[in-house]
Formats: sequence, C-alpha cells, structure tokens
Amino acid sequence: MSVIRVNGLVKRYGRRDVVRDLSFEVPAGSVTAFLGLNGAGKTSTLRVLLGLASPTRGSATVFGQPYAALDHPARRVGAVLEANASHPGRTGRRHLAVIAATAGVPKRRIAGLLDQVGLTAAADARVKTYSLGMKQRLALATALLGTPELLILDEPTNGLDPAGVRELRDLVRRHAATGGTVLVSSHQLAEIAQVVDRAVVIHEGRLVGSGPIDELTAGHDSLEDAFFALTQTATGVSA
Amino acid sequence: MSTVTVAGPTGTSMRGLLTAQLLKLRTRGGLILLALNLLLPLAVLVVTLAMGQQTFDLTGADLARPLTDAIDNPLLALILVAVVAGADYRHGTVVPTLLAEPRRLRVALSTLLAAGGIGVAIAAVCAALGAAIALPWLATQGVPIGDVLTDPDLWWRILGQTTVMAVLSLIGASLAILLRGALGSILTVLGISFGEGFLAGLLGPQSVSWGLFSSLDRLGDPTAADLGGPIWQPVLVVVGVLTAVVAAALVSTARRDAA
Repeated sequence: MSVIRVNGLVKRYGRRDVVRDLSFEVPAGSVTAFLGLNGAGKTSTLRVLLGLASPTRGSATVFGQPYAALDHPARRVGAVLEANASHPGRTGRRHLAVIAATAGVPKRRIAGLLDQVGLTAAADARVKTYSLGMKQRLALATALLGTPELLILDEPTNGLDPAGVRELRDLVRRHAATGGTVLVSSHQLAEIAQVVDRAVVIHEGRLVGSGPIDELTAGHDSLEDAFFALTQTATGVSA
Repeated sequence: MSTVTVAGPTGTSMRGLLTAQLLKLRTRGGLILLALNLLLPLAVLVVTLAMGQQTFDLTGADLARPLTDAIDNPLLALILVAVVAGADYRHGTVVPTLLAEPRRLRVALSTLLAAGGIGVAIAAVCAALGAAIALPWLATQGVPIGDVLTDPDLWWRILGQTTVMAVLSLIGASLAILLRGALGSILTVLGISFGEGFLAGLLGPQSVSWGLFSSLDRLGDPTAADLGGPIWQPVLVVVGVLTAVVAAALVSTARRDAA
C-alpha cells in the first residue's frame, strides 16, 4: 500500500515548469530518500504534496487524499520544510504552543518533545538566539507534535552537528521500526544511504530513478555514484 | 533524542485556532504594541486633563468626552493586529501553521476574528481605564457623575468608537493577509488616511464625505450634531470597504500558494 502517491504532477511558476510530469509512490513502512540537485523540484513537489501550493496539473496525495482533506493532519503527517519557520521573538516553547493549539494537540506534549529533540535547556530562550541546528531541532519537534505516522523531512540535517545528525538518523530508524513511513530529502548522500531502503531521484523536475536502494545502486559503488550516473544520464538525454 | 510516550491530538477547532492567534501576541514586540495601545491614549488623556485643556459646557455629550477619548486610538490597534497577522508571512510561520491546519480559510478566519476581538478588547479596556481616570476628575470639577453615565450620547459614542476599533483592526489584519506583511497593510491605511486629509484640506470636507476615514469619524461619534447627513451613508461606506477587504483576503488565501 502506498502512503504517498504523486501522479503526473506538473508545477509551473511563471513560464517555468519546475516539476514535469512527475509520478512516484512511497510504500507504507518504508524510508525513502527523495534526491535531486538544487533546483531539481524536490521542495516544490513537497509543497504541493503538503497542500501549501496547488498543482498546475496532476495530483499528489497522502494516505489516498489531498493533504488538506485529511482529518487531524498533524496526527497523520509531520513535516520539516524549512528550519527558519519560527518567529524570532518567540521562545521555542511558545512556538510549539502556538502550533499545538493550531493542530489541536495537548500542550502537555511540548515538554516531552523538547526533551526528545534536545532543546529543554533552550526552551525558554528566544528563537533568534538559536543556531541553525537548534532551529532545525525545533522544526523537527514541530513535525513530531502529533506523533504522526508519516514524516516528510526536507534537508533535515542542514545545520545539525554530528551528534544531531546521529540523533536524527536514530529517530528515523526508530520511526520506521514502529511501522512509520519516512520521505526524506537530503544532499548528504553518504549519510542518507545509511537509513533509507528506497529512493526517488529527480532531475530538472523529472523522475530519473525510483525503487529499492539495492536495485538503484546495483553496478555502482555507492548511492552517490548511482545518483550521479542517473542525473548525468538524464542531462545527456535532455541535452 | 530520547523516545517519549505521549497522548494523541484532540483535534482542531476554531477555539484552538483562536488560542493560537492570541498566543502570537506574546512576543516582546507584540506586548510593547499592546501596552502602547492601552497606555498611550490614557497618557494623552491624563496630560490633557492635567493641563486643563479639556473644556466642557457641562451639558450634553461633551461631558462624556474624556471617557471616549481614551478609546480613540484605532490606528495603534491596526498596527498591532497587522504586525501579528503579517508576522506569519514575514517569518514563515505560515508554513507550520498550515501544516497543522491545512484548511486555509479557517486559519484566515481565525486571524480576522482574533483581530476584531483584539480591537474590541482594547476599546473595552481603554474605556474602563479612561473611566477610572476621568470620572474622579469630572467629580472634582463638580460634574454630576450620574448625569454623565445616564447620558445616552456617552454610550453611543463608546459603541461607535468600539466599532471603529474593530473595523480598523479587521481592515489591518485583512490587508496584512492580502499583502502578506504588516508594512504594506499599515502604509496602505495611512496612505488612505493622509490622502483623505489632503483632499479635505484642498477641496473641503464635503469632498471626502464618502471617504473611509470620514465615515469612520462619523461612526465613532454618531451623535455629533455638527457633522450632519444621514447615518446610513458612513455605515454603507464602512460596510462596503470592510466587506471588500475581508473578501479579498479570504479569496487570496484560498487561491494563492501559501508558500
């Protein structure tokens, strides 16, 4: 069963198609890498998937429905799209309180989540004093507020120190071990290869590869080699 | 990142969305603006009274003037709600907000309801504080307080000023949603205000009788004898402008990409 289904998706900004007839699925219980160079259309795809932007054509559904049609979306999906999506004048605790009230999540969740992402000591400091890594942890706590089944993480390791990267890796593994699904986009290919079992590779808005990680990397030394082979082949084809 | 056992969500509700909107006030900037909203008009009132510049004919509506002057700060309320509503776009918090509640119209509606409520609440608190200052002062001037409080003009003026506060707060929040920021909202309203003032100075007050701020002035002081003209005219203008701005904010929220 697929948790995410993207079908013939086109997203146009102005005269430019940033996502072009993209189709892929993410099976339930999988940890799937969503890979592509800068400007490949990953974030645009995720924005459409999460209801923040409308598709120009095609569809993107989560649990068989458009995101906006989900009941209790925070319980079904937790997403990290950008680390800087928090008011600099609010404390980390207050930021979570605002989103918890919006999502209908009990406030008692907040202390545990701050502990879970290692922000308890800084919980009552203003976000403007946070490092990028701390903001990333806060964004992750925001995504986890509703104990979601599906995690969608866009560049979650940006700004994280090595300890944070390891903790994130453990969190993803734990989430998958309890039956959860993860779609994670990252440029840290060596890092991401340690946790994913599938990958979707896009280039210039188009799908260039998708499937189990061992199939995609067959004949290559690493996920990085496979990624460059797929994207360079696509560049050659489109050139 | 240790594992925690937690309870599940209780579901989204308009009450939760309104709570979130009010929590957004609690930043340093928000609290400073709120304090200014409450204290600045009172400070002006106290200074005016202390300097003896407020004069009364001791009959009619002017008795109530010090109380209602304390509510007469709608632009400050507009700045407060525009800053709070615009911050969602300026700082990108609209993204986690819409991930938590993807029904955009509900989120926009909660922003507008909170803005209107904030305008009314500020007016109510200012009226109460204004009364606490002005009534004892009026008593020392030999004004019979009972006459002041039973004067219907006082209550019409309080109702009018409170309506103006709510209307301008709603316009400020709507423009902040529409223009995706506080600055555009504030500048637009100030531009209209100065534009009307300029026209009135150039062509006379009748030239702006259908203007937004002229209409708000009439609504804020509905019993003023010197303004003349039917009351339906300013009501029509204010309802028309408010409907147009709120509708534009809601339509743009529904149709445009959120981020």
